[in-house]
Amino acid sequence: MIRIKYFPGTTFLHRLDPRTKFLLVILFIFSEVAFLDIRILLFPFTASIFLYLSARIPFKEVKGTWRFLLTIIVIISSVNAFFTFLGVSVQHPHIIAAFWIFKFTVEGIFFALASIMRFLSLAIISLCVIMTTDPGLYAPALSKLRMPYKGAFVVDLALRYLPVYVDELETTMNAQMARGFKVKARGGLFARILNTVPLLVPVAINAMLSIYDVADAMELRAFGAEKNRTWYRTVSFKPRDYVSTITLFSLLILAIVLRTRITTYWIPA
Amino acid sequence: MKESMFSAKQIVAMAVGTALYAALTIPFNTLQIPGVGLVAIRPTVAIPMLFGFVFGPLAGFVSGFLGNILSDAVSFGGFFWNWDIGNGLLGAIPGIGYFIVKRTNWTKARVLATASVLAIIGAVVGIAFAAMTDFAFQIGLSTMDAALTEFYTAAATDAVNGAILTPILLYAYATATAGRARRV
Repeated sequence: MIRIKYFPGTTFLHRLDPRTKFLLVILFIFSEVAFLDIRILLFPFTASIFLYLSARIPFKEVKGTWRFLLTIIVIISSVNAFFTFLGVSVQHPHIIAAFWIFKFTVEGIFFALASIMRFLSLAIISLCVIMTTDPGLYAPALSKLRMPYKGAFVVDLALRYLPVYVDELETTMNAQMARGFKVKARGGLFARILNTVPLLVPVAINAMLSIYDVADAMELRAFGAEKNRTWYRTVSFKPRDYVSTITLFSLLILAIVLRTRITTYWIPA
Repeated sequence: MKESMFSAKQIVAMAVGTALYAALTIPFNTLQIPGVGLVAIRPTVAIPMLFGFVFGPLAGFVSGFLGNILSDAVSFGGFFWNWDIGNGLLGAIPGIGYFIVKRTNWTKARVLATASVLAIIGAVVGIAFAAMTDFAFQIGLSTMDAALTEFYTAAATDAVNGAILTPILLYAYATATAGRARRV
C-alpha cells in the first residue's frame, strides 16, 4: 500500500518552516540535475537518508511506499543503464558479460549506481517534505514567497488531494478486483489500455464531480472577491530556519562551483 | 459567456487535475519503455487531456505540468523541467475543445472524435517539445536519432492512450453530470 501523507510530529524537520524545506528540495533537484559523479552524489544521498531517519516517520505506515519506491528506482535505473547507457559515450567499454543485445559493463554499473543515488535522494527528500509538512501550511508559505494567492491555493489543494486520490485508487482497485477485475490484462495494446478504464473512470469522475462542491464552498466564503487575502494560519522564520537557510544556500553555491569543475560521471581507474 | 480562467471552479479544477494525474500516474511509472530514457507507458495522460477539454487549456496545462512534477518526484525522484512542460502542453492543446465545443454535445460521436483528435495532437506537440529540448539542451540525449526514437515511442504511446481514453472519460463525465445543476 502506497502512503504519501502528512505524519504529525515534533522533530527538527517537522518544525522547519515550509519555505526552508522548499529550498532543501531545490538543492536536491540541483544536485540531481547537475551531477553524475558517485563521489559527489554520496553527500546528498547520505544527507537524505539522515534527514529521513531524523523525521521518525513510522516505518510500518510507509513500508509499502518504500517497497514501491525501491522497485521503481531499480527498474528505471537498470533499464536505462543497461539498454542504452544514456548520455554517456564510452569508446571502449569494459564488458563484464554479454548476451543477445544486453551488455553488462563496468561503466553501465557505475552509471546505474549514480542514477539510483540521484533518484533515490530526491525521492526521499520529496517524501520527507510531504510527510513532515502540515498541508495547511503550504498556501501561507507560498503566499509569503510572493506567489499570487490563487496559485498558492492550487498547490495547497493539489498536495492535500494527492494522498486522498492515492487511497481512492487503491480502494477502487480492491473493489474492482472483488468483481473479477485483473490488474494485468491479457491481449494486445488496446486490451491493456481498455483494462485501465474500470480504474480510471470511477476515480476520475468522482474527483471531477467534487470540483463543483469545493468551488461552491469557496465562493460562499467569497473566494476571489478581494485582490489579496489573509490566511488563518501563518508561518514565520525561527532561528533554526535562518541557520538552515544559510547552510542550504552555502551548499547550493558550493554545488554550483563544483558543477563548473566536474561535468561528467566517474569510474574508478 | 466564458468564465474567468481564475474562478474558484478553475482553481479547484487545476488542483484536482494535478492531484489526480499525479496519484494515478505513480503506479504506472513502473511501466518503463526500454531504451528511450525515462519514458513510461501512461494511460493516465488522458487525465490532463480531459481536464483541458472540460475546463480549458490552463487547467489542462497546470494538471499536466504540476501533476508530472509531483508524480515523478514522489515515485522515482525525477525532475525534468522540459518533460513537465511537455506534459503541460499535452493537456493544454485539447483545451481547444473547451472553446469550440458546446458542453451539451459532449456525448455526441462528432465531439468524442474531436476529443480523440485533439488528444493525438496534444500528445504529438507535448512529446515533440520534450524530446527536442532533451536534444537541444543535451538532457541525457546526445544525438538527433536518439531524440527521434524517444519522440516516436513516447508520442505514439501517449497518442494511442489519449485517443482511446479521453473520449471514454469525456463520455463518462458527460453521462455522470447529466441532470445535475451547474456541472456542465
